[in-house]
Amino acid sequence: MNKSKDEFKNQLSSFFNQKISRRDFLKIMGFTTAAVTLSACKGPVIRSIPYVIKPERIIPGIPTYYATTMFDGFDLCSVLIKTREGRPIKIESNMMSKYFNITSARIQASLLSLYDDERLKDPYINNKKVSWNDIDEYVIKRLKYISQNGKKIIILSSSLPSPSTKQLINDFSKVYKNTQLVIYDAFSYSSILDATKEILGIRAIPFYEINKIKLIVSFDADFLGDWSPQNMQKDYATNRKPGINMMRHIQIESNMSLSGANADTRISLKPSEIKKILIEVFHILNGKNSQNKIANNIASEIKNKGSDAVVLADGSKEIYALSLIINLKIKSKALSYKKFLFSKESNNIIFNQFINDLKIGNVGALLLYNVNPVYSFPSILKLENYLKKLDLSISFAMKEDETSKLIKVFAPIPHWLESWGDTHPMTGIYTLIQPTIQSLFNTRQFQNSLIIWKNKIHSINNPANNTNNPANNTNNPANNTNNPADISVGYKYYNNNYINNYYDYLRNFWEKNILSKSNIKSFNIALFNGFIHTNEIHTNKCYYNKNYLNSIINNIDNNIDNFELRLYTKTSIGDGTQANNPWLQELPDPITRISWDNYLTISLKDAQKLGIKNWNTATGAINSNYVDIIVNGLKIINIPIFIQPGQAEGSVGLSLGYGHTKGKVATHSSGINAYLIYKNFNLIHYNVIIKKTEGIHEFASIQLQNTMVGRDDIIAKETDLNTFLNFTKEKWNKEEKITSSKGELPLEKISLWKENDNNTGHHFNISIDLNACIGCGTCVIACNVENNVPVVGKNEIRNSRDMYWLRIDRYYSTKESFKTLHKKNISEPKIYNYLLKPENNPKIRFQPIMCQHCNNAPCETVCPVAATSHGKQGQNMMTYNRCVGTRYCANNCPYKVRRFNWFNYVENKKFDFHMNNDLGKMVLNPDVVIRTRGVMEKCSMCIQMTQETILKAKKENRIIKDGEFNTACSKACPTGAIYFGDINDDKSEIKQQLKNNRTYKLLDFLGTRPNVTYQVKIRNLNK
Amino acid sequence: MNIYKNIIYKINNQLLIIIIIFFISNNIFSEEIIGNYENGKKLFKKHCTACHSINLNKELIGPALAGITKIKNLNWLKKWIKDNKSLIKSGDKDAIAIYEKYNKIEMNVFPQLSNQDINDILLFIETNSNPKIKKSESVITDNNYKSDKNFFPKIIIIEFILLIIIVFFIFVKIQTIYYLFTYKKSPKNIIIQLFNYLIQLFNYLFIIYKYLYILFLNIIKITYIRYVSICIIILLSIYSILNFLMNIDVNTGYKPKQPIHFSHKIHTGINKIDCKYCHSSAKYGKVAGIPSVNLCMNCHNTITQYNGNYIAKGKNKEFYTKEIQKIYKAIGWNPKTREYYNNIEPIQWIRIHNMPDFVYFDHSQHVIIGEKIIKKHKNVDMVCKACHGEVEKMDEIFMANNFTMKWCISCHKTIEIINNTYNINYYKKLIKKHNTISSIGGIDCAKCHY
Repeated sequence: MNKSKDEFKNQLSSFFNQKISRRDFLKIMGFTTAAVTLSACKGPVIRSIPYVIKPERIIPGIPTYYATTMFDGFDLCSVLIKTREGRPIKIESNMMSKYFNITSARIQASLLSLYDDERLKDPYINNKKVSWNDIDEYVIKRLKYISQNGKKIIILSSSLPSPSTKQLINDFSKVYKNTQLVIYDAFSYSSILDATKEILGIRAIPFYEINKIKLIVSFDADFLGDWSPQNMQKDYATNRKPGINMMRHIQIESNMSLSGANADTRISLKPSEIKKILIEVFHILNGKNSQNKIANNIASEIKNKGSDAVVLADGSKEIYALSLIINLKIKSKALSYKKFLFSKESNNIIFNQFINDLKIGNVGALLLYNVNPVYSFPSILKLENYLKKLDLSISFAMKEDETSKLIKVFAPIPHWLESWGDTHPMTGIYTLIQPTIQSLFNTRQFQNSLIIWKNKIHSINNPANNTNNPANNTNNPANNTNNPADISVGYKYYNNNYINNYYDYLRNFWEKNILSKSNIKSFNIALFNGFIHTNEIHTNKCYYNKNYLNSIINNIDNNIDNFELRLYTKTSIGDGTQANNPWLQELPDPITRISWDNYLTISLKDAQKLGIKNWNTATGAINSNYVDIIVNGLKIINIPIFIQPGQAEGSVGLSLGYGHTKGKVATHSSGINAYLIYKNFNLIHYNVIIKKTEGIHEFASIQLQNTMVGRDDIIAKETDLNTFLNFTKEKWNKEEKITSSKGELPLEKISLWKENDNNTGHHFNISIDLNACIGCGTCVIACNVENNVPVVGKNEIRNSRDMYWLRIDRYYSTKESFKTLHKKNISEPKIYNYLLKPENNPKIRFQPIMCQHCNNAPCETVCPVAATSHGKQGQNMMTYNRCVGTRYCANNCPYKVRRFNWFNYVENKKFDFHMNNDLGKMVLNPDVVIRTRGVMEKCSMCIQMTQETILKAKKENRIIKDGEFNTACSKACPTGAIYFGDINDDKSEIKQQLKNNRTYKLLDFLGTRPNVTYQVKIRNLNK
Repeated sequence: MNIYKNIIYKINNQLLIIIIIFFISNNIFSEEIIGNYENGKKLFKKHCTACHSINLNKELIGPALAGITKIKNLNWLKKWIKDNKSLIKSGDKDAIAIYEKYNKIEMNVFPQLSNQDINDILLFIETNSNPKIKKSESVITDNNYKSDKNFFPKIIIIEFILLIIIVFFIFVKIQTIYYLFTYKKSPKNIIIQLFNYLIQLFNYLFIIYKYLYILFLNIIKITYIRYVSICIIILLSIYSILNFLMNIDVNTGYKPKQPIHFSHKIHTGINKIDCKYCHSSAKYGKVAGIPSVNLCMNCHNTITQYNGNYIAKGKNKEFYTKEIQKIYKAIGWNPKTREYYNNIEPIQWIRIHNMPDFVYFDHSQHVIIGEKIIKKHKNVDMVCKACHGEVEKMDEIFMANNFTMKWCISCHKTIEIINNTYNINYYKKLIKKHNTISSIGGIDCAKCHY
């Protein structure tokens, strides 16, 4: 007992005497930190801030649609804007409108420019932030001075098809004398307008109704691109439905354009030769003989079709005029004399006059609206001194651009989605622009500024006892405002001088001048529709004099052996207005499949002559040499060069719109500013000298294999019209069969998997008509917008880590096939040397590929965590929160449609695009989750849209009608190539599409049973 | 306590009876308003509260009505209430004076009210306008309030006892140490002696512990037992870790302090306001929505202070009234001048039910389409209760369920397909077989995750 007592005593004493060792200290510290951190593990506090005063029309979670007009100076389209909780998140075409209702990739993407973080947020004078009152004071003082001194006030604007703004400028010029509107488009339509003026007597762009005709002969006119502001894609596709009446399309061009890629017959020639052939054709049609075989063939085809043919041409004023004369000669049904397009008003002559005025010193004030001349008219820099001398220079721009350095006053304007406005794009159509979001920044519309400047000087000029003075005017609405019922009456008495905002001005203008032309009598109804149709037609008679004709024909350029350069605009960037838009920069060119760049396209033979190469690096990415070119004595160095199959020998092509020096995204692209050589607004330049230089350029190409390597009858199937009409399906769309012990069996008979029950409920299918798909990329952008697909930047594209859920593969045809090569006794692997090379003038097939939603999906069986599974409605479902990122599924997918998130693309400085800033994130669709790093993603068949439709029907307790189901791509497709629907609905359009002979499934022999079907492309070869 | 309460209640009851008798007698003597008090109260609430405060001493859009029966002639009042406009037109001086006084805001006319109805209303006004009754009412609530306050002294007492124990313990320890270090013989101090026994007890316990430990070591030496026990320990720890991990971000019972003490119990429990009156977007879209402040103003435009009988523990009427004032601050409204000023301060509520971004949940689908079947399945009288619990009993809202996927799926696996036009058209066979909604894709991943 004592012992134990002592023992205890010792223990106790040792307990009190012991020192804490280092290890114990660490243990204790470790434990306490762990305990503290664990106890601190609490979820973050999430705050919900409801509206203080909720707008009546907004129900959280329910989209609201507004009809408006997309107009950014280059593109124009009647659109519907989908807004969620007051912010626009999607642009859709306004199908109520008859014309200008087709969205393009650029129009779909223009939404993002609204949320551009680099937009000007306040007005500035001499780089100092000021208030609008300061601006008004500063500007009015100078404007007054300038107009009194007799100097010119120039409003330099891009095409301005707005009747009310024109009226306003007219009013403005009455107050400030010597005001002149100069229309200047970066990509000029002046030659077309001038030619039309001379031939058809009206300065407008002719309206072509190509849905009426059977033959299109296009001389270098990229009519599926930007040749005309009129979007011809839909009519083109509907008129090319396979059958006896299928329209034939012949394209004679030097660059490979989108139109050329879709042509039945494409002839690749230098620009000078194209002009020669056009003249030859003209002669033949006028009864002369020609030795030229191509011209003879074309002329005979045109003669055969007579008025069912149309000739389109581009390149210069003369060429365009000649095409118009030919159309008049053959009395083409396509050329409408009653309707004209007014959306482009470029005028080179007046612009050149302005430049002269500037030199003389006649110009006192320069108001730049929607133009960026330092970028798009670089020779203006020679006039820098004159520009700096100006008494007043005002920039009405959304963001800082190249021209900004010459400007003193910045009066930032809102985006078109925040603006009021109207347009008159075409005879018989007036459209309205309405804001769909409150102004994000301290901006003011150009028109509002004009009204304010006009009115303020007016009030000073008017003595107080003037009868027009608002205070004495009994009819003045200010006296009537007490009684709301009188406001509409008061409107009639609005004197333009006392309207102090553009909305009132616009409304007044429409009520007085425009609504009277149509059946719609209410401004609000017009606003609801977004447009009005009127019955106006033109009755101008066409005339042209023979001398003029002779001057065109005799004016043949004498070309030396040097290269000929044809400038063009790309599908994605266009004239460069939207160069700071990451969606568009990343959208691969439909033909070259290169994103983030422009380049000189050259034919293989010329490239070999010059020793120029394109080669693949170890990762597969494409590299190229640089060249210097000399055009008209102007040298541009270090242009990347791309070997383009189909490029005419002796010609090169270069796209406009790249090479900006301002803008985060625009400068991420390493393009060349081709406006440097866009002298005198000429698209074609002769005597171009090309020299190879040092250095290697890195391209970001999304598609590395250009041909189908002999599998032309498996992947993107194609046949010609004769075979299609005269032979059975067996010949041109052979069904795959499986060989078994019981003989050849159809694919449905044999399967490793248990069949799903697909007959109850909905079963969704997509049908893609390869014949209608023109490869324009609208669906790709629509998919990006709808599904929050991130932009990854040039380097990641080079690493083949693009994130596109939907891509449009482009395949070149090859000269040889397995058959012909086997005949030549060439065996593997040599055979692929031939099969990987595209033809010199290849035929192109486009094939949109998204997830095929296989009923027996290879990806589903390999996922270790069952993150991808099959839905009851035919969708192959990807559950991001379950995915652990093993990437087995991507390996096992035969279509390469699964995309892995290598990085977090949101809130990541390395991906400094729209998802890296709060403003840009406003564009994200709240119904689709943003995927994080380490997660696989892919097309979901827009399940958020189908679910919404189903839910709506359930709530209304009804059956879903055909056509209600849609995906982003099927809704956006301008040509209707993509159908989406429920195949369990027997009456549905998709069911009809599946019954079509041309229908096949991609790589069906693998037994994947996709829910996406394709339809064979038909080429009208006129054999 | 109960005795006191009873006494007070009794006193109150007697007081009430006395007061009522007093008033009835008073009425008989002064003016003859004969009517039904309850009906009057109902009618007053229905027709008058839009402009007149139910607290009759307070002025709203219309004047305070307390004691009006004393000031005005009964017949005049009847005329005024029925058709004040014609009374003004007829040139009645009093009527015109009132009309002028209240900024020429016209009072509604009530031709639908019978004389008896007006009598009822006036009785209600007269009965309520006497301040004495109000006092007796407040006595009751004050009692409640006091009983709540007793809670605090209890805590103080407990804390005090705890403190004494701790001090005692420390004192004893110091003594022990002193004893140990000085090796003094057992002191005569009783406390120290007591402590010696305690030390001996500890010693025995230590010995027992030691033997148990030796026993344990011996048992451990048997390999079979050792491995089994190790396995069990490992399995248990894995289970507990898993359990711990599965419960991360499961916030059942999460009840943060909101910027405004909004009591669902008062609003939906006592005053029976429908859930969808405030959370109206639940009918249309995926978000139920927190009501905007302008919606609060629909009622709180007139209800500027709390007058209900219910008061939660630890609160009082002033507290509730203060909380109501926060609405006015948020929307920028001055309750005294009854005018808006342009100063808006949005209320930053703390979100309780927060689905992760990768979950799509649609309220309208459950509230509108699935209303009947969910009510039936969950045996609730209101569809909202199926997930959000008995909100009408919550003073402060909290998360009633765990809102995990397992919990979602548990219904989707057991609820039958609803028999509506849509489903009959697409899933006729399955409805006949009484299949659950999992058979039509109710548990498909991408139905909720996209």
